Amino acid sequence: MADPISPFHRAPKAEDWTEAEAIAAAQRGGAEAFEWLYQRHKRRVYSLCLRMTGNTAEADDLAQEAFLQLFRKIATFRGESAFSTWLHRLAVNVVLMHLRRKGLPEVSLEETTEPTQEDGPKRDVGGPDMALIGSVDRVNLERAIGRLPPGYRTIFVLHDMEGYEHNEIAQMMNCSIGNSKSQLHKARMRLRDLLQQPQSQGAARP
Amino acid sequence: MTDCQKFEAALADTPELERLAPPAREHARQCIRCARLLADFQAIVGQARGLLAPEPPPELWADIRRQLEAEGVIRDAAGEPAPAKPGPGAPLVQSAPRTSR
Repeated sequence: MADPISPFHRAPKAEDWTEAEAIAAAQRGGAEAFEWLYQRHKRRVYSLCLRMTGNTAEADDLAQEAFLQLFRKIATFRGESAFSTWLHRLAVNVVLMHLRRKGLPEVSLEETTEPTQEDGPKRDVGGPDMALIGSVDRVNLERAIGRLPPGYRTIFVLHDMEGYEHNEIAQMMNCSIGNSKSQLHKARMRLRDLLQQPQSQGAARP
Repeated sequence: MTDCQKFEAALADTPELERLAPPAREHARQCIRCARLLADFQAIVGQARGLLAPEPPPELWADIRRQLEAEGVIRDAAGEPAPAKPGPGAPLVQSAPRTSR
């Protein structure tokens, strides 16, 4: 970065900022810098909030809360991790706190990785298994994700959509790695079932 | 435990489908049901990774900014807390009457 003491120094314009420059400007309280960071990260934060809650009103509030918490704490960011990682973890924690306050059940501590009979592939006597190959379209998948039970949806979003590892999820969800894997497997099985249903069936459950 | 149950246990234990152990892959080559299960999981996960992130509502930033200004987190060029702008529906501030010259 240019030497701020030099008489020839001209602060870069916002449109030319690197993320590090925007963060430094935000740490000094600059409105433009806050907005720069917001515009850069808004979709991913909002997407996380919406997909974990399945509710746009809640997602609006939680995304707002995540950014407010981020900007209040931005002076403490020292760059030990990537800014996006820091922001993302903060957003996940905001959503998880919200889900806990709503009284939604945590991942069961009694779950194991052993598949139970009810989790096994459906064995329709005399009928062929339906396969989805080639028929998973994005609209139907979004709809199906929204219909997952909250615990399944959370783990599916965190692992398969947001890329968290099971050890990270286990820490966030206060469960074991085995439970996290088991819940993800069940989430995928449930999605498969939902996607196999004819489109006219099964109105979305609240 | 049947071979299909062992396959599903392996599937549950290996969320990164491309890392499925060779015995499980071999079973999927021989079992249509398990092959379809694996293919469906691959399709679901593949599509999920490609889903577009939705846009937040346009007024979200204005709400955030207003709150940051009210808390003094946003500062003006002089380092003073920036005055908070009134939100929609807030009563208009009456300006001081002009003094005649």
